[in-house]
Formats: sequence, structure tokens, C-alpha cells
Amino acid sequence: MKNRLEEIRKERGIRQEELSAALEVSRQTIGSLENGRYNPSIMLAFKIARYFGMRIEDIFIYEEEQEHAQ
Amino acid sequence: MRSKKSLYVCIVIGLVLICAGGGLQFSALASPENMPGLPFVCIGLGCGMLGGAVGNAVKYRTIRKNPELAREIELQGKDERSVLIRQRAAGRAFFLSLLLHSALLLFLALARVQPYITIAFVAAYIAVIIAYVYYLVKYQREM
Repeated sequence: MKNRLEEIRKERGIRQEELSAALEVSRQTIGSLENGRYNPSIMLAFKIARYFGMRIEDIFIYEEEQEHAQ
Repeated sequence: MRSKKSLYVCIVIGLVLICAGGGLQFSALASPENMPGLPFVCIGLGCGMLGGAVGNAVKYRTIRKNPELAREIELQGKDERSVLIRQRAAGRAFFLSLLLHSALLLFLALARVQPYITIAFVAAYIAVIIAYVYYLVKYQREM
């Protein structure tokens, strides 16, 4: 799933280590999320959205074509 | 985290088993006619317990001196991506083990090994399948 996580994180000057510590996940998970190799659980998606003070849809981009491709 | 007491108990039991195995090997108690494998079972179990307990003790000592490392290890263990990876790997390994178990059963049957050995392997195979079906049904109901 495409997302704007890396873009938003860099805009706010947050390192991956800081974000992972705040979300209580590993740094590798943040890396995998950012390059689209891993889709977060709904709980983690909510935590990320809450951390940035944004909506889930503003961070994670759901496209119908992605669903069919998978 | 296991308590210090249980670790020390495991270390002591491990040492006792190793010594008992060594003693049995060189005594008349475990003769070839009478429980020939017992000394080796004792040594094997003893080494396993001792090694596991000493390894855990070293790990806990290291973690206690470095709380940041402890937190990192805890995070890695609970991290949802790590959990998912472990579950997927375990699932694949389980299906592979079923294939290997089937091949082993075939080999045992063709090699004309004593029936009770083959039956023991078949019973273990069936027990694993039953456990698999049980957890499938259980999680179907829960989720």
C-alpha cells in the first residue's frame, strides 16, 4: 500500500528511530512501512495517524488497483 | 523472565543429570542388556538443561546491565511485523515438516523397521494433524 509516511516524517524532522520508539515498533517496521513492503495493522495505522494528528486516509493511500494486483 | 531460583535449579539438575549419566555409563547398572541408552539420555538431557539455563543466565545478566538493550529486545519481540514474520515462517516450516514426516514414514515402512517404531511415528504424525485441526476450528470460532 502506498503511503506518505516518509514524506510526512521528513517534513516534521523526525527520525525513524524516534518514530519507532513513539509507536512502540521496531525501526525496521518503520522502514518497511515507508517503502511499501509491509502494510500496518489497523491499530498501528490509527497510532500513526494519531501521532501525526492526521487522518489515516491522509497518510495511507488506498487504491482499488492495488487490491486487484495483490 | 524466569526467576533466578528456577535458573539455578535447572543448572543444578543439569549437572546432576550429566554426572548421573557419566556414572551410569561406567557402572554395572546400565549394562547393554539393561537400559543401554539411559546414560546417554541422562547426559543429553543434562547438557540441554545446563546449556539452556546458563545461556538464559548470561542473557539476563547482560540485559540487567543495559536497560536500553533490554527495551530494544522487548520491542523487537512484540513488534507486529516481527510477530507476523515468525508466524509465517512457523507455518511454512510446519507444512514442510509434515512432508518430511510423511517421507520418513514411507522410509520406515520400506526399510521394514520394527512395527512399534513405525506406529510411534504414525501416532506422533496423527497427533500433530489433530492439533492443527483443533486450532483451526478454535480460531475460526474466535475470530
